[in-house]
Amino acid sequence: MAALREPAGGPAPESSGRLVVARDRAPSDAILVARALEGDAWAEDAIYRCYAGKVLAMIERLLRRSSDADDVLQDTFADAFTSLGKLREPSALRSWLFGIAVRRVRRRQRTLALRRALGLDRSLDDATLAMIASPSVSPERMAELARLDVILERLHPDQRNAWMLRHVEGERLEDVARILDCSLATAKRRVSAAEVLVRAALGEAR
Amino acid sequence: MRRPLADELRAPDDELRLRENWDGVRERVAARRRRPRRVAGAAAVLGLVALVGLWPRVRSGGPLMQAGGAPLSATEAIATPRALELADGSRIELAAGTRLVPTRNAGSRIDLTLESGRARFEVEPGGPRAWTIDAGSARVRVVGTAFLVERSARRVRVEVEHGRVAVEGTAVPGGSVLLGAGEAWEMAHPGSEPAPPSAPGSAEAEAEARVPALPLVAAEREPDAPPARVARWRQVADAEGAEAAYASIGEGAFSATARRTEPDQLLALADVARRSGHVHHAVEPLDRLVREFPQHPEAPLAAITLARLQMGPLADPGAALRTYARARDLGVPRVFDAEVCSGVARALVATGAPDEARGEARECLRRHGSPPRRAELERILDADE
Repeated sequence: MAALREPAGGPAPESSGRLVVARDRAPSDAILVARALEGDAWAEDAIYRCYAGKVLAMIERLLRRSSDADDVLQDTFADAFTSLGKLREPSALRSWLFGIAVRRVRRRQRTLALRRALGLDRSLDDATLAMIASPSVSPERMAELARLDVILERLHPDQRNAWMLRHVEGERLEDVARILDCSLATAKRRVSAAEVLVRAALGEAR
Repeated sequence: MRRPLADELRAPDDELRLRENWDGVRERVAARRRRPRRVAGAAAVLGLVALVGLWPRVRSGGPLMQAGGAPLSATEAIATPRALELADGSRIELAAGTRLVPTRNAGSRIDLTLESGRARFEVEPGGPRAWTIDAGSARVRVVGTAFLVERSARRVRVEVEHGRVAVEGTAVPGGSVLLGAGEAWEMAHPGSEPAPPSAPGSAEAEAEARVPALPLVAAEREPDAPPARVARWRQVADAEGAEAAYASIGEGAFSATARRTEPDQLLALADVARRSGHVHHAVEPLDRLVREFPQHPEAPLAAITLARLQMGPLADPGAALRTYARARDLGVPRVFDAEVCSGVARALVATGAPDEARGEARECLRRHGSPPRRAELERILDADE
C-alpha cells in the first residue's frame, strides 16, 4: 500500500530506476496526438478520457443546456479526431479542443436563437449558473448567480462566450483569444464590453 | 473576480454520461470516415483528370505530404523505431526516442527540427525542395542524398551515406563544412563530457562505428529475426472495427492470441475485446502487458485501463486497488493522475478502508480540483464529519 500513497510525480523509490524512466516517458499530449495519428485507438480513448469532462463542463455552461451539450461534445471530439492532422502544435491540444468546442457551441447558439425566434423552441435552459451551482454555495451567492444568468442572457453570444471563458472557466486572455480564434485585442474588447454590463448590474452587490 | 466561477459550479463528472458520449463520438467518427467512400469513385476519376493536367504544378507546389496523403506533422518514435514514407519518394527513419518537428513545409523547401534522438534521411534526388534539418547547434542542408543526424545532450553527429550535405552553424568551425559519402562530422556540446579519443580498432571505436547501423527501423530487431507481421485481427480491426476483429479471432482462440501477441499490440487487442463487448477477455492482454513487460512504455496505461475495468464492469474493487498500486509502481502518466487517485479512493471505500479512502480523496481533490467522480469523492470526505 506504500505505493498507493506515493503521489504520482513524487520521488521514485530508490530501488526503482525503471520507475523514473517510465515517468520520463509518460505520454504527454504531444505523444497521445502522435499515437492517435498513427491509428492507435487507445490514444484517442486517452485524449477523450483526459479532456471530455472539462470540455463537456465548458460546453454545458456556455450553452446552458445539458441535452444539447452532449450532442455538441460528440461533434467536438468527432471533429477533433477526423482533423487531428491539422493540429500544428500537439502540445496545444487542450486549447485546440476548446476552440473546436466553442465553434460548435456558437453554431448551436445561432440555431437555437433562430428556432426560438421562429417559435419552434419553447424549452427552458436547464444548466444556467444558478442551476448548476455547487450545493455548498450560500443562498446569497446563489441569488447573485441567478442575477448573473439574467444579465448574461442579454449579452451578445460572442461577448458572453468571451466573458464566460475568462471569468467562469478562468482562461487567460491569450487563451481566450486562441480559443475564440480572434486577436488578443478582440478578445479583450469582448470581455471588457461584457464586464461593463455585468459590473453595472452587479456592482452594488460587489 | 479572483477565482474562476467554475470552482463554485458542479462539473458533469458522470462516468456513464461520458461513456455514452464516447460511444456517440466513435459512431460519428466512423460515419465521417465512411462518407468519403461513397463519392470515392467520382472523385477518383475527377482527381485523375486533374492530376494528368496539373501534375508538374502539384508536384512542386504544395507542402510535402506522407505517402498515404496524411500531412507531415510532429513525429515521435516513442518506444520503437518507425519510418515515414513521403509522397515525393523520400524516406525518414526515426530511432526509438526520437522527436522530429516540421517547422516549414512548402513547395520549394522543407525545414525539420530534430529535437532529440537519431534520424536517417533518404532524400529523393532531383526533388523540388531544399531540405534543412536543424539539430540545435548545427544545421544540415541537402538536396538529394542519404544521411544520418543524431542529437543528444552530449553531441550532434552527422554522417553521410551517399551524396553531399552542408553542415552549418555558429559552432561549426568556419561556419560550415561540406561532407561527402562516408564522411562524418561530430561536435560535443559545451559543458558535456568530451568523448575520449578512440583508437582505431578499440572497443570504443567499434561502438561508435555501430552508431549508424542502418536502417534504423530494423536496428532493434535481431539480425536474423523474421520481419514483424501485422496480425490479421489488427488488419480487420482497422478496416472493419472491433466486432469483426473479435469474430476473426474467435472466442475460443482469444486467450491463445493474447499469449502470443507482441507487447506493442496488446493494448490494441484489449481494445478489440472491450469494444466488441467482451470485457472479460480484455483482462488477459492487459494483465500480460503489465506483468511480463513492465518496462514497456504502455504498461502503465495497461494497468490503468485494467483497474478501470475492475472498478467498473468487472466489479472487483480489491483487484482494482492492487492494479492501481501496480500502475503507480510503473509510473502514472500525468494525464491519468486524477483518474487514478479518484479510482483508488473509491476502491478503498469499496474494500472497507474508509480512513485511507478519505486521505486519498482529500489529496486527489487538493491536487486536481475537479477529478473524475468529484461528487463521490466529496461524499467520501463528508463521511468524515
